[in-house]
Amino acid sequence: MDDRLTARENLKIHCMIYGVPRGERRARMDEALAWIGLTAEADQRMRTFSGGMRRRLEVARALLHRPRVLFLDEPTSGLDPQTRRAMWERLHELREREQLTIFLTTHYMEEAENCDRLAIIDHGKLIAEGSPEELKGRAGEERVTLSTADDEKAAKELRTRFAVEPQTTDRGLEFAVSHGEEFLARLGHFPVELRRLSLQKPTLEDAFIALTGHSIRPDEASNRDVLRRMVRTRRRS
Amino acid sequence: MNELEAAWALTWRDLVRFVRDRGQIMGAFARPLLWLIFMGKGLSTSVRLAGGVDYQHFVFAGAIAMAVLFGGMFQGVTIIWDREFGFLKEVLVAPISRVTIVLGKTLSGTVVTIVQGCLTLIFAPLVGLHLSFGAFFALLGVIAILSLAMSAMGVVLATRMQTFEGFGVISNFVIMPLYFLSGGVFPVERLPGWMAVLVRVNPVTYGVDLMRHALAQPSVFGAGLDLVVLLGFAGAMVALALAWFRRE
Repeated sequence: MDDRLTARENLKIHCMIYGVPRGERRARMDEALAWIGLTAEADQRMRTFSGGMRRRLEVARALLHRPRVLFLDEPTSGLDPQTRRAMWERLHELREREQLTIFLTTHYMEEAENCDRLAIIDHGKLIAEGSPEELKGRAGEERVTLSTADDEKAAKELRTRFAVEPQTTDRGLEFAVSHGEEFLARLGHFPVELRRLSLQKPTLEDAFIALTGHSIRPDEASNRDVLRRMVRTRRRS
Repeated sequence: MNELEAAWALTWRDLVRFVRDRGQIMGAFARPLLWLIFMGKGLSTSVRLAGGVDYQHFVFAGAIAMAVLFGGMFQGVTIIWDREFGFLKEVLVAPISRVTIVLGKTLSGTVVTIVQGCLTLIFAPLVGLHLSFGAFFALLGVIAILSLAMSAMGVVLATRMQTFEGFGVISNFVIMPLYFLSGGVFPVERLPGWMAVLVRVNPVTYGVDLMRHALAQPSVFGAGLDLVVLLGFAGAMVALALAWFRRE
C-alpha cells in the first residue's frame, strides 16, 4: 500500500499489476470497497486511514484478481471486535461463493477456530494436524463439575449408573467424560437434587499448550494440574 | 501486454506521488534558480571565460545537469522507501518479471526527472538566454537520456543500500563529484592532468558537452562522441540495474 495514494488508486495499481481485465476493474474495485465498507473513503489518501481500515483494504485488494488461494497472516489482529466478526463473515461467504482456499498463519486461537484444518507448528516442525475439534479432543477430556444437595449419594450414583470416577473438590464433584453434552442429557433423571452444573471443554489454546508444552511448570505439580489451574484463572479473569 | 501495463502502473504511481509532493516540486524549482541566479550572477561578475561566454550562460548547462543528477538519483533511490514500507514486496510477489519492475521504476524516474530538468529550461530567458526551437528540443533530448542514466544509476545504488539515510552519502560521494567534474561549473580545458582524466572518465561530462553543442557554446568533444558516450552510459546503467535488481 502506498500512503500517498488513495484507497482506489492503490486498488487500481493492484489491478494493473495482476492483469485484471480492464473492463472489469471498475466494477471489481467498487465491489471490493463496498465489501469492506470503505466506499465513502475510497478517494481519501491512505495516510489518513486507521490500522483497521488498512487491514480491510489489504484483504479486499488481495481478492481483486480472484485468486484461488488466499494467504493471510493474522488478518484480524488489531481490529475491533465488530470489524473482526464482519471480516470473518465475509471471508467465509467468499470461501463458499468463489471456492476460495484460505491459508492462514496466526497466533490467535480465535482466528484458528475459523479453519477447517489446523496444523500446529512448533520449532519449525509440524507437531499436530486436524480439525479444531479434533485438536481440542487431544488436549484432554471434557470435565463436568456438579454440586448437589447430597454429594456423597450423588458420587455413589455416578459410579454405579454412569461409570465415572468423581472426585470431591471445593466446587463439588468433578469428573471426566468423553462426550459432555450427551452425558448432560442423560443426567435428566438424576435422583439427587442438582444445584449447579457445568461442563468444561478444552479450548484450542489448551490444545496448543498441551501439544507444544511450553507452559511454565512448577516441579511439584503435574502437567495437568497446572493446565487446569491456568484454565480456571483465565475463566475468572 | 500485462508486463507493459504493470510497468506503467509503477510509473503512474510515482508520477502521482511526485505531483502530490509539494516539497519535491518546490525543490525542483528552487535548485536551478539558486544556481542560475546566485551562483551564475555572483560568479559572472568576477569570472572571465575564454570565448567571452557570460558565466550565467555557461553555468546554464551545469544547472540542468544538477537538476537531472539530483532528480534522477533521488527517484531511483526511492526504491529503498518502497522496500521499507513493503510496497516493493507487494510488487515483487506479483506475477510480473523483475525486468518489468526495474523498467517501470526507471521509466518513472526518467519522466519525473525530465520534468525537473525542463523546469530549468523555463528559466533560460531569466538569464538572457534565448533558446531556439531546435536548441530546446536538442536540450530536451539530452535531458531525457541523462535522466534515464541517472534514474537507472539510482536503482543500481538502491540495490546496495539498506536505508534511505545513505542518500546523503550518495549525494556527497557520487552526485557532487559527477557534477563538479562534468564541465558544468567551470571550463575543463586547462585543468591539471589528473583532474582532466577524471573529467574525461565522467560520463556526465559528455552530456554537458552535448548541451553546449545545443546552446552553441564552445565544446570540448564532437557531438557524435558525446551522444555515443551518453547513450552508452544510459544503456550500461539500465543493464546494471537489471542485473543487480535480479537479486533483490
